Amino acid sequence: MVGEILIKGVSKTFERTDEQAVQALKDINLHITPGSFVSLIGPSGCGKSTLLRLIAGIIKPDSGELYLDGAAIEKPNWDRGFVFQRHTLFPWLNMRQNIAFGLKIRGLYNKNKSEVDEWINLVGLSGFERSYPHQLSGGMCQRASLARALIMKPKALLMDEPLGALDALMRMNMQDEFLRVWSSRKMTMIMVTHDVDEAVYLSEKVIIMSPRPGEIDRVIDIRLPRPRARSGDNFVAYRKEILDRLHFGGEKLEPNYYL
Amino acid sequence: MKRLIPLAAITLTLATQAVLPNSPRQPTTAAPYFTYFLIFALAVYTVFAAISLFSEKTRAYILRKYPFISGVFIFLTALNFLTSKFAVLPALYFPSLDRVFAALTEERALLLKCLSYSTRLLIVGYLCGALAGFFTGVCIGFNKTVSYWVSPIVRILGPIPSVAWIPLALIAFSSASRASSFLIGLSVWFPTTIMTSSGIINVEQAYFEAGSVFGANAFQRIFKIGVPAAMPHIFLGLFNGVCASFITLVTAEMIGAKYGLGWYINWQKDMLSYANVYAGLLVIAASFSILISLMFRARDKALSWQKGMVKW
Ligand SMILES: Nc1ncnc2c1ncn2[C@@H]1O[C@H](COP(=O)(O)OP(=O)(O)OP(=O)(O)O)[C@@H](O)[C@H]1O
Ligand SMILES: [Mg+2]
Repeated sequence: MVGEILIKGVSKTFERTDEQAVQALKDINLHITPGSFVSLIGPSGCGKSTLLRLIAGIIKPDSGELYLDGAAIEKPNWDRGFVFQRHTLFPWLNMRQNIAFGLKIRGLYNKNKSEVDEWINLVGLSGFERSYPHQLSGGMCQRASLARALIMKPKALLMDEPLGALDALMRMNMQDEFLRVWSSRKMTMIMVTHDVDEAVYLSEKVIIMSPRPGEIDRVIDIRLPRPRARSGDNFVAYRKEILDRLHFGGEKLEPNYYL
Repeated sequence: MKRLIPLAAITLTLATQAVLPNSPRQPTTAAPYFTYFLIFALAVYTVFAAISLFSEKTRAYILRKYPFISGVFIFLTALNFLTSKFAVLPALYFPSLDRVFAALTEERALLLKCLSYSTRLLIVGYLCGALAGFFTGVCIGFNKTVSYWVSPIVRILGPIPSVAWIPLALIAFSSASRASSFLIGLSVWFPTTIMTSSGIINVEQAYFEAGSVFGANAFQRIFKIGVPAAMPHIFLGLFNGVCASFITLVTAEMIGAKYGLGWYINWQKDMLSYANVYAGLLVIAASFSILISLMFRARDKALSWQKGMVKW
């Protein structure tokens, strides 16, 4: 199986011209086993997106190393798919062209035309092939982004709050979609989320991060059989454990910012 | 019913033209060309009105346009009164419509020759200028070093009206037509460069990142992401370029050209035959507006993806 990710002592500081530098990540060490489903959870600004972008190779660490299946990660490539926090479908391409984009870039489109239609079917977008992104709903765009990443058969799929913009019902549908893809294609999936239920429902491991500087606070193994019942006793217990860890368990805590 | 209003307007123009005598101060023409034109217009409109009885599309078009069409002919009636009929305006500078249409018909061979001459100049100059502008803009947009060295130069040279280069161009180029092409190219180059580079610089970084996770190389970054994303800007530059090129074309032709619409107008003005000047202007107006609307068509097709398209 492929998709093993190794992160060794990675730190990242952002210089900012107007304000003082922020250390987004400090000494991150992680081993993500091939074919696992991992969630990253933590308060806003703790460096979740930054970590994901480092794995993708979009940005480079100040120190430390990252490996995918033993090879150092230097730059972005198709073997690490990415679903962005805000969908980044290209507005000048219609939905089908967007999904086919990666194949065209790699020169594989002509041999794999039928696969594009399969994926469109799979994410339930048939009939909207010729629609431009601004004509699609937020959920449809996010599903198209997912198909656009998955069609490349990446070794690892990195998802930055892929379901953040969707309503509760659509979220649950998409979560099952993820599980179906994950179990049939056997790739590593790393997902950033703010939703504790979602993390417990999907993941084998939940990585809790803490902010300023961004560090790994705790890794929780979710040992629940699938399919998981969202209201089962064990499910609720895991949920409580994570919430406690995020300091939302009911104990009094000085808020460090006010809305 | 509304569709009959333009018909009434054309008939009014025709009736006044036919019944009222021409002022003796206006030279006479070989034939009443303006009357011919009005009869032609009446026939064309009648045919369209007849088609509109059956065709939904033509009907909608006429219903949208009938006030304008009527207005045009009422204006022509007034103009006809001011010039041919009573010669209120100086007859030398404001020739009768008969004479303008006479110039259009009798000089059509020369006008066509001038038109083709101008068109060739315009196309060569425009294409060279647009390509050069696109290329410069892409280089500035994607390369920091090029941007550092070239964009100040663009900013200094660009705003100089290209006709100001005429003296230099006449020395640098062996023929007047090559000099004119160069000047037209220059006037297109500047807006195209500016809009292309600013369009590319303003493309959201997120799109490049999205492309890079598919392993897009530098060439694909430029032509699969940067250029299509900047297309609305680039079209704006190309459009500004067209307008600038018209100005440069006509001005450049007034100096040292042997044919061309600019040359024709200038020459006729020197001969004090203003009827021919207006004929030349009519040809320019018609051909340029056809070019512009072709350009709109191309843009609408290329940018159909845009949400709430920028209206021009
Ligand atoms: N390009 C950048 N330039 C400067 N600072 C940055 C940049 N990207 C991230 N940061 C800073 O790094 C920190 C971590 O940001 P990051 O986007 O990784 O947070 P996050 O955990 O994804 O937050 P959220 O849950 O709100 O998306 C923040 O303090 C942010 O201001
Ligand atoms: Mg984030």
